[in-house]
Amino acid sequence: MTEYYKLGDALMADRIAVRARDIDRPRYGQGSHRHRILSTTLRGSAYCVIELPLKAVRERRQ
Amino acid sequence: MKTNLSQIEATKAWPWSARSIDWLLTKPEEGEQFIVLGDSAGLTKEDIDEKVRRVKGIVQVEQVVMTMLSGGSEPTDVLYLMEENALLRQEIGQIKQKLSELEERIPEEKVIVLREISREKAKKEIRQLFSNERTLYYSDIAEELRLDLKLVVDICHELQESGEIGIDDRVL
Repeated sequence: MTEYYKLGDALMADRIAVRARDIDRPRYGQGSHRHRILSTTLRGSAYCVIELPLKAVRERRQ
Repeated sequence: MKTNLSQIEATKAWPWSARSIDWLLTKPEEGEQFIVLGDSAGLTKEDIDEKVRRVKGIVQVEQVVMTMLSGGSEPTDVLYLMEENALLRQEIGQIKQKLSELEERIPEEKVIVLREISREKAKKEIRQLFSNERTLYYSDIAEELRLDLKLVVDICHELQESGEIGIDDRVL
């Protein structure tokens, strides 16, 4: 599995597990089509792993 | 349940303006008519308890008023203070309600103390966790075994490569 360390590397998935020394309080926003969207920031030893890929990726896999 | 409210010595209270007493005794809901003391008028026990509480409040205020009057305050000032007090109480009630709503929305914090165990022991425990053919996410394993997420992911990849575990297609 690939690990990304560089500035700007990003993950996109339907479910991502995270751990960090500190996690900011979630901020509420509005995404597309009036969907509620939350955002936060992980600080210190942050680690994220995809647990459930995007639906499109899953369908491509099958 | 019929209850005689006349037992409460509210009539001995200070002769407030009819509007103030109306306001104190009537139910907060809209459309309810003024109900005279001494007649429960089919009210529920909770309504009556609420009214008893308010009437007791009047009696307490009376004592304060008598003290204030002896100090030179005008009754109109007292009525103004009473109304302001009731408004503030109402606002406090609303704030309490909003606070409880917000508290419900805040996710519960759960403290998990991570164990520092050897990689081999962790691998053995993860293998054991999968022994009853459960479908687990990395985060489920990390939480259940109280292990670091990265360690769990690394071990799962190893087990996957050796063919001991695999991806559950039903989840995908």
